[in-house]
Amino acid sequence: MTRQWFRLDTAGLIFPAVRSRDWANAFRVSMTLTEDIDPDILQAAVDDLKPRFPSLYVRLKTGVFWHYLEDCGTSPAVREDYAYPLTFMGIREVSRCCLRVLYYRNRIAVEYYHVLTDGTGGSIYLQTLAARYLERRFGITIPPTGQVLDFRAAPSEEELEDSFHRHTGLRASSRREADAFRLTGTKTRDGFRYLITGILPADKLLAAAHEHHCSVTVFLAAVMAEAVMGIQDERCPRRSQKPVKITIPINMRRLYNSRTLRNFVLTLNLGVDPRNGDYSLYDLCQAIRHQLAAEATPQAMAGRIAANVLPQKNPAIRLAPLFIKNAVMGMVYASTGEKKGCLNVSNLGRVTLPESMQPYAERMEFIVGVQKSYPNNCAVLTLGNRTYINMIRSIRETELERRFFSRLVELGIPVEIESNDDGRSD
Amino acid sequence: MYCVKCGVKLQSGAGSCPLCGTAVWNPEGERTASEADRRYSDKTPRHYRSSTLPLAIALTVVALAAAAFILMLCAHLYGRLAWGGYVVTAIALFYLIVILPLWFRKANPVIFLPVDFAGIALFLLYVDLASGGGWYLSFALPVTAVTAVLLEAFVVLLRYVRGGRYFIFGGFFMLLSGYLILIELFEHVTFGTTMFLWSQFAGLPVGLLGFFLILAGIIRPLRELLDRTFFI
Repeated sequence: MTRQWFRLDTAGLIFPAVRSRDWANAFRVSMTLTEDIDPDILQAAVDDLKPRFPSLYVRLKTGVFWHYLEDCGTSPAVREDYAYPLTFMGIREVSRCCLRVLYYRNRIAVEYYHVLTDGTGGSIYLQTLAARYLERRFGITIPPTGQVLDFRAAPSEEELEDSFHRHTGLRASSRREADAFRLTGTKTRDGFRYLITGILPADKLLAAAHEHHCSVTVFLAAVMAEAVMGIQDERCPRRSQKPVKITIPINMRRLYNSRTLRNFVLTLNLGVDPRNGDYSLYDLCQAIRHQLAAEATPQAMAGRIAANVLPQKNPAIRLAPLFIKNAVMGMVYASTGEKKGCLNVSNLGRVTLPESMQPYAERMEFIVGVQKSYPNNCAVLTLGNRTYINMIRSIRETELERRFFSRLVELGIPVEIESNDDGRSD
Repeated sequence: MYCVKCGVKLQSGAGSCPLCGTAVWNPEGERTASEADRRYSDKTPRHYRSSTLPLAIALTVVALAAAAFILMLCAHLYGRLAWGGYVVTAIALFYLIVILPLWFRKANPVIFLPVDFAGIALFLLYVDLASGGGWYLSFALPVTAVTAVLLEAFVVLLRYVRGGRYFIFGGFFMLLSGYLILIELFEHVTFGTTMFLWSQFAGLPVGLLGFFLILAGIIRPLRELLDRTFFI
C-alpha cells in the first residue's frame, strides 16, 4: 500500500535545514480540563482523528532533492508530560512522527515540529482532539463549530494546500534589515526549559492596550520592547546599542482568507533603534502599530512570500542535492533569520470554544520554543477572560520576565505568575 | 500571596517569586508547595543529543587495525619498518586531525589547531629523518610554524572578536601575501631555487585583496556596497 506523502510547505522547508544536534523548532498548544485525563480514551481520540488530519500524522523523510512528509502509519502513542515543555525533538523522533500528544493530570498538550503546521493549525487540531476526547469520556455531543472540526468529514484540498504558492507576488521583497540586540544569559543544564506563565484578566489588558491606542499584540510587543531596551541600557552604552525588534508572527489566513491547516504564517520584525533617542511606552506602541499596519497587508506580504517561493521555482535550486540546499538555507537563516529580532511575541488571539465544551475546559495555553541561538520566547493565548502569557527560556536569568511582568503590574494590570521552576538548581 | 517587589500574584505555596527570587512571607503561616501545585511532572527526557562518540570509537578501531596490519606486513616482507613507517605516522596524523576531535562534544579549534600543527611538524620531522632529506630545519619547520601562528591568530580573532570582519580578513590576506614571499625565501635557502620566481604573482593579488578589504573596513559606503552586493 502506498503511503500518502506531502511536500514540505514553504515555511516548513527551512526547519529541517537549520535544526541542530540539540535544537529543533517546535511549539505546543495545551488545554487543561476540569478532570484528570484518561490516557486510554485520549489514545482512542488521537486514533479517531488520524483520517481527518493526514498532514499532521506524518514523519519527516529525506529525499534526494527535498525533505518530505510521509504518513506515519499508526498514530503517535500518547505519553505522560515531561518536567518541562518542548523537550528536544531528535531526528530519530521526527523520523517516526513529528507530532507529540502528552498528558499530565488534567492537561492535554500537543507538541508540533514546526514543519507540520503553525499555531493556528495546532490550535484547531488540539480543540478537535479535546472535543473528541470529551465526547468519548462523557458521552456528550460537541457540534463542530469555530475551530473544532468535524472529525468524520474528509479533509478538503484547501486544508492541505501550501497557501504560500497561491498568494505569492511577482517580485521578492528584500530580506535585508539591521541586526537586532541579542539577549544572552547562562545556559541551563541538559537543555532544560524554564517556563513562566503570566495570567492576566483579558478585559483589563484590552483596556490598557486601548489606552495606548493599539491592539493587544502591539501593546504586549511594546512592553516587551521596553523591557529589552532596559536590559540593553544596563549592558552597553547608548552609542553602541543595536535596534530592539520584536518578531511578530502574522497569521496569513486572515489576510488571504485561507483555510489551510499547514504553515501559513510569516514573521515581521518590528521595533525601534534606541540610538535615535528615548521612547516612552506610548511611542513604542505607536511605532510598532504603524510599522505593523504598513507591513501586514496582502500586497506587502505577497512580496515577502515571493522571497520564499520564487527561489523554490528556480530550476537550478530545484536540481541541487538536498545537502547543498541545506547548507545554503542554513547560511541564509544564519544571516537573515533570527538575528533580526530579539524574541517572538506570538499571539494566537482569543479562542472561543463551542458552548457545550466550555464547562469542561479550564484553560488553554500556547508555548513557542526558544530560537536556535536566542534564549527567550513569548507566546500568548486568551480563553474566556483570561490571557495566558507563556515566557519560555533556556537560560537561568529571569531579568526579561521580571521587567516585562512587573511593568504590566505598574500599568494597572493584575498579573498572576506560575512557574515550572520547583527549586531546581542550575 | 503577592511578591512585595514585583507586585505579581504568586501560586499558593511558592517559597520565592519566580521573577525576582524574593522570599515570600505568608501571613497564614508556612505552607510549602504541595504535589498538587506542580504544573509539570518529574519525568526528564532521555538525553537526545546525538553523539559522535560511536563514530570516534569505530574510526579509532579502524585506524589501529590499519596501523597494526601495515606494521605486520612490513615486518613479514622486509623484517623492518621500511615504507610502513610513513604510512603509520600518516595514520597517526590523520587520527590527530580528524578522529581526535570526535571524542569531544565541542572541539575548540583554538586548542586543536596548534595540536594539529605540532603533529604535522613531528610527521615532517620523521619523514625528513627517515628519508635523509635535510630540509626540515630550514624549510619544513619554519613554514609549518608560521602557518600555525597565522591561522591561530586568524581563528582566535574570528572566534572571540565581535565585528571587525573586514579588518580581520584584510589583515590575514596581507600577512598571507608577505608569507608567500617568505616561503619562497625558505625554498631558496634550502633548495637553492631562484628567488622571486612565483611568490610575487601569488602574493600580489592576495595582498591587494587584503588591502582592499581593509579599505572597505575603513570606508563605510564601500563596506555597505560590499554587504549589499555579496549578501547571501
